[in-house]
Amino acid sequence: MSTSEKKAIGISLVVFEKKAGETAPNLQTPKQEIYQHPSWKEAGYLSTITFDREGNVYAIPAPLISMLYNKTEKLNTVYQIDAKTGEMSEWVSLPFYGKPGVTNPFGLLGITYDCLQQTMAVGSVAGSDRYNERGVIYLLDVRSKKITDTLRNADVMGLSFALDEKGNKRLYFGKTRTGEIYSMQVSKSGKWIRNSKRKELTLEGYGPRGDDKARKIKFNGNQMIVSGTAFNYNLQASSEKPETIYTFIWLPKEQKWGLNQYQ
Amino acid sequence: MQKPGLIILTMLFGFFLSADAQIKSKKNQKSKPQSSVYLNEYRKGLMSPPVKDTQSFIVARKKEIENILKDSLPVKLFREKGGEQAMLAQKIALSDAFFTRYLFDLKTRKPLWNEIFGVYPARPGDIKKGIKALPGTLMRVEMYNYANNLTTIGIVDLFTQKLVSADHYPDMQPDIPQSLIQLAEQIAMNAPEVEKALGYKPTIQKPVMTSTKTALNRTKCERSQHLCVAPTFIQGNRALWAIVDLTDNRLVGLRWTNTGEDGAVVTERKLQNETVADCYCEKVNTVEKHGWKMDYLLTASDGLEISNVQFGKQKVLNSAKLVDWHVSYSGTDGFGYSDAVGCPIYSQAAVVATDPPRIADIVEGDSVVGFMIEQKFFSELWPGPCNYSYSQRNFFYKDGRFRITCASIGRGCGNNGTYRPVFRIAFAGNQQNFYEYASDGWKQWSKEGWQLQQPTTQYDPNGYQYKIQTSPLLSYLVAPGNGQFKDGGRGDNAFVYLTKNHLTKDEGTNDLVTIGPCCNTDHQQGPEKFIGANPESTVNTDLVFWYVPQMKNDDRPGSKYCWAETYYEDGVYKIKAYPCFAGPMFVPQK
Repeated sequence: MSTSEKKAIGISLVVFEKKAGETAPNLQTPKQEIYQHPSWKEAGYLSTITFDREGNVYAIPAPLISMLYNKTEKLNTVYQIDAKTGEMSEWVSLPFYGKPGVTNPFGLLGITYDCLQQTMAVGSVAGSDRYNERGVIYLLDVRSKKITDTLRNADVMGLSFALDEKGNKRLYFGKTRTGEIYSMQVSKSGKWIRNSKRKELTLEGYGPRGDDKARKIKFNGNQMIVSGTAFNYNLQASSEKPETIYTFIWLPKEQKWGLNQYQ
Repeated sequence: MQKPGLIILTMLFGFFLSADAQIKSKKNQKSKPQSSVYLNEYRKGLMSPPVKDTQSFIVARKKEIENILKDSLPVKLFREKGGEQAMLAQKIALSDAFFTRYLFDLKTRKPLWNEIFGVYPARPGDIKKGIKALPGTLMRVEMYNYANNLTTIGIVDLFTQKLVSADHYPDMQPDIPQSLIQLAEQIAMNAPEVEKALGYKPTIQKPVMTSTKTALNRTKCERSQHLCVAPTFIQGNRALWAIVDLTDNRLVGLRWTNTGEDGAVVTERKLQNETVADCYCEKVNTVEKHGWKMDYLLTASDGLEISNVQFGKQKVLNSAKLVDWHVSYSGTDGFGYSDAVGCPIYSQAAVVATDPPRIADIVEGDSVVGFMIEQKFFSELWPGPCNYSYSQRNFFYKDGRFRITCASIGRGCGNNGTYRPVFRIAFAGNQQNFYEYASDGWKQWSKEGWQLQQPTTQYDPNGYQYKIQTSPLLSYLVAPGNGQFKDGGRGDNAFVYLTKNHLTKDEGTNDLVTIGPCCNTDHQQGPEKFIGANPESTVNTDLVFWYVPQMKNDDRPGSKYCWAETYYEDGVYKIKAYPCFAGPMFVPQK
């Protein structure tokens, strides 16, 4: 599934060619077909995707280049593609704590799902401006679609659930105003453990640009893999959005993350 | 570069934020003290004459580069440490075809500017699996390619005299040698901007590199993709970062930070964005010159807006701004973009201002006849394919004429693109009337409407198509672009819309979101939405004049238009622009 196909608004299913001698196609092989169900365009441009354990797909809207195809009032709406019907529809509209506007055209920017607890975390930066961080991280129970908790005044993009060095479940979140990644424990009931917030690392000064923000966060064993990109609360789009993958390793002695490599 | 005929634009002042007493910020003043100064664009010279270097150390550096580019291998060797071993290591590396792969332009074979920054004993992590060598015989050679912003690291075996491994790293920069540290310090110490910021010329006290290694690595010139370092001057609990571009050998800008700040890194992009936002997006500035007075503000999505424009005591414009850029490609149905231009951060702009507006005199012959205010906008990877740059230029003449213009500076996604910028121009006065020239004289538009400038369009004997009467005593004649302005423009082929300016509802007075799609080739560019099904009267009322020129790009040699490309010069790549300016001239008629 892709939300970044040129000339395709919304979400697309990309079929890659399977080369002779290979058991499966991969992202490096040419695209054979791009499929879009008619409903997949209706929300305008979309950004991050996540999946639940039933195979349903969740996506969040984010304007690209212009506001022509995204309605401001829908920028805090999570969309779901039903695993059985393939149809996309509004899944939940999260409350606005500030409205997107001319100085910040964005609402939702991050989404992730925890399969074990069926908790979804969604981050919105709606209403934030240069001097006021008004973003919210919503924790939702996927079964009931209810908001179980919120963290206010946090503008975030990359989100990921993972266990920390002590086995506690944390939500890791990349800030959009700085290159910092923070984390906070999430209880089994899907609520924040408020005094557990901590700074994990910063991307400041690293990579070819030096001012990257964490767009995606993934974990692989003791590694945190961060996709970093520029983000300045505008609709700037270049032909290729330069992105750098940073790999950090947890250093048990120092109790901190160390940069292993970036590419 | 398109030269504007007889008009020579002379820079009045640099880009010091507070240098010109005529420019006064007057509202939305923040209490925040100015902590940064962004000096100039790295694309200087793009549409204005380049400045000649006079500092002896820069002249010497350029001479050195010039000489090295004439060598068979355009590489400055590292001679600072390591003696004969280091020289041998470099010779071994430079005799290997893979290590030297990027010394020359891959297509033209022209020499690129390269420098070996360091030669060190190889570290365990440098030695790839399977490489066997006698202890202490492996050396690491680090070379930087200024043109490609690329680092090449080679591991050589001094005993076998062979290169055992090499890797090329795009967008990476090695630690710089002592000679470049000194050059950066010299550039910073001799910059008048540094002296002004510190309050003294730092001749005795040397710049303090805040922890030499990290301070040098932790600044970036993200936009120019140049090699930049930041000599840092400590003053009490504050540090003055002087960002120095070692590819262009110049100071990029200055920024004060608190020395205790955790992880605060000053980079070119941050410096540019914050300076432009602080001084031009959040402040209305005023310019008063040659009888003209106006406010100007960089908007979130409508480009540079000029407002409250008056000539002498006569109010002329309420506002003029650039609402959208529509770019369509004829080869593919519906393919193109609607770009808003505006502030670099916290905006709806897709192509952003990275440099402050520029105000310059217009000189004809040896006389100053007026002034220009210009704002440029850039995509990050411009002039790479599918990236964009635009310019807005407003000209004001001593005789009361003025011209509102803009240009695409390429490069876009192909050579079959048409650019349609949308100007919104609101004249002052609420007893306005509008006329077009017809064979039998001036004919009034009694209702809102639109019209396309075509080959069959009729002009009065002096080339005017329209007349806007702003008061019983004053009218402005409108001359659309027909290639007569000597700025390279080939004619506007413009859609003109006339709408009533409703004082009780916002039809574009405030920042407009994108008002039209990319790819309509007819009059549906957005302003027609304000005409509606029942056009209103345009007699003796407030009016808005919308102007949408159409410029078709061209990449053919000799006729490049709305285009930009890189070219080779002195071992690095530079940018050449072919802007396509369009926009009408307004001439007062009393």
